[in-house]
Amino acid sequence: MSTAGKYFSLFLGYLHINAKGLLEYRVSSLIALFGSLLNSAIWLVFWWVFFRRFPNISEWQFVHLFTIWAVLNVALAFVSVFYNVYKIPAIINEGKLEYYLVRPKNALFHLLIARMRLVDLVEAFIWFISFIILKPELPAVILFLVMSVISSAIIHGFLLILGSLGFFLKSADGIGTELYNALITFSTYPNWIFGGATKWIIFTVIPAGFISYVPVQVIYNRVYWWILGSLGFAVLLNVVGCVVFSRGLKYFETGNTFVLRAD
Amino acid sequence: MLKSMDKYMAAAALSAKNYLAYTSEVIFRSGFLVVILFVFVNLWTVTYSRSGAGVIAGFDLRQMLRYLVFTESIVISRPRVHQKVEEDIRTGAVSYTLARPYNYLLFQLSVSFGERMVRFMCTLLVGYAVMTIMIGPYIPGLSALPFLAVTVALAMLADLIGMIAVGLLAFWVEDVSPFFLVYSRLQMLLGGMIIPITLFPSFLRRLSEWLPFRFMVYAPARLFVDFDLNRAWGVAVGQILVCLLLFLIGMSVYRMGVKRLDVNGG
Repeated sequence: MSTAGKYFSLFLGYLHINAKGLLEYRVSSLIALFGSLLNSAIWLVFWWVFFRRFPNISEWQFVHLFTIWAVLNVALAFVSVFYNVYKIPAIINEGKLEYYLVRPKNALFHLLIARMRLVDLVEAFIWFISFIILKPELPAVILFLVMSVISSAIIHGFLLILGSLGFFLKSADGIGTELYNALITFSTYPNWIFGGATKWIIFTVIPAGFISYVPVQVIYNRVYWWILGSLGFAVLLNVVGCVVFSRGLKYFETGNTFVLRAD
Repeated sequence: MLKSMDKYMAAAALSAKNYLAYTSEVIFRSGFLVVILFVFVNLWTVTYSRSGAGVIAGFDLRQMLRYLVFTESIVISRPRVHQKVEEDIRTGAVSYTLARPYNYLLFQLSVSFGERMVRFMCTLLVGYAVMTIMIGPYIPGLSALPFLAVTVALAMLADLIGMIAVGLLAFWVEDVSPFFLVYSRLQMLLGGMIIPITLFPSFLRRLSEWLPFRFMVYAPARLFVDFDLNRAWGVAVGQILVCLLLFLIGMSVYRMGVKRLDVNGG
């Protein structure tokens, strides 16, 4: 079997194990799904009230806000397939990294796929169907999927960089959580409320603009060059993340905690 | 009556004293509050500017932003008392409290209230600093401060009793988190945390007025930005009634739950 085949087989193996886990703990999974949907619903009611009160505040309407929430949630669901990307600092600090280092597979790939939150894919499906109902046009649906995948790659790359800082900083977990929360918060608001330096920040340090403004530009205004722009940025973030992780591995020294089976 | 309340006041004071050790941590971990306030300042500044309205739903821009600082501070300062109650019931620890000379609900209320007061002061300090930098300082009238302190305390008590009542559902269910989720999200929207209820369409506003959440968030925040003595009395009376009602519900749930308590082992 080719190397790619072996890695794909490993991925399928973990997918199978995680799917069994989902079925085993279906009640808690359903609770998590319900919670996430309820939270989104409350924010959408807020935006519905807002645009009902201020219909001419910008060219954006409720449908645009719904779209950025849908893109973000589908993107987060794709990131959940590599759920350990959220846990890298904890994995490093709690002695769980060694488990992956002694295996005959790329440590980063193995670590990322070892834990999946597959219930989020159910949520992604609900958002996807909602978007189709909202905008039943094939090109818009295809662009929605494309932008969701690119947005997920951007979030993944962002988390990978922040998580890999755990090799160098003890407080990487806290800093990473704050920056991730900022990314998600900025991603759920229209970009036209920001001005000055913030407009630059949301396209660089906290790349929320790629998750909120860009999908709306591509799906509704058909500004296709944004697809290439955000794809390039997604690739860049992930490459930088891989480089920081591999540099961190060279810097890494194992502690006296050794976990036999990590997740 | 007052004498029997001494132990609960002591528990609240001790809890506040304990939590004072973590004030710097709470302040430094307020990144989310800073981000959300920054976003709200941008959103409402643009909204007021583009709509050309000086006053929206009874608030001018500065009042709206101060209102949001206050509501966020109230809600973010919430300790996870429902989880503590759930854990006590699940582990059987609640059975040890039956023989102790205190009311379990009042004891949890006192401990969580002490912690919450400290957390609230910290989050309000951070929020106040952010707002002062972005829109300038604000000092409410000195005569309003005692009323504000009372109304904030009552709002927190009402919320904490509600949370404990949710936690007590652990007598029947394994995990109370879905119930708390519904409670907290209803409070977030219908309590007026993210948007004043005066902005709601009439059916949502009516719904909000029927539920107790507005006494926990909207009412004290409104008084903070626009103090009115008559309204303050009305709010305080409403809050006391909500506290009593929630306490009665909580005690009924507790008594029903304790009757079916079955503890194994020692």
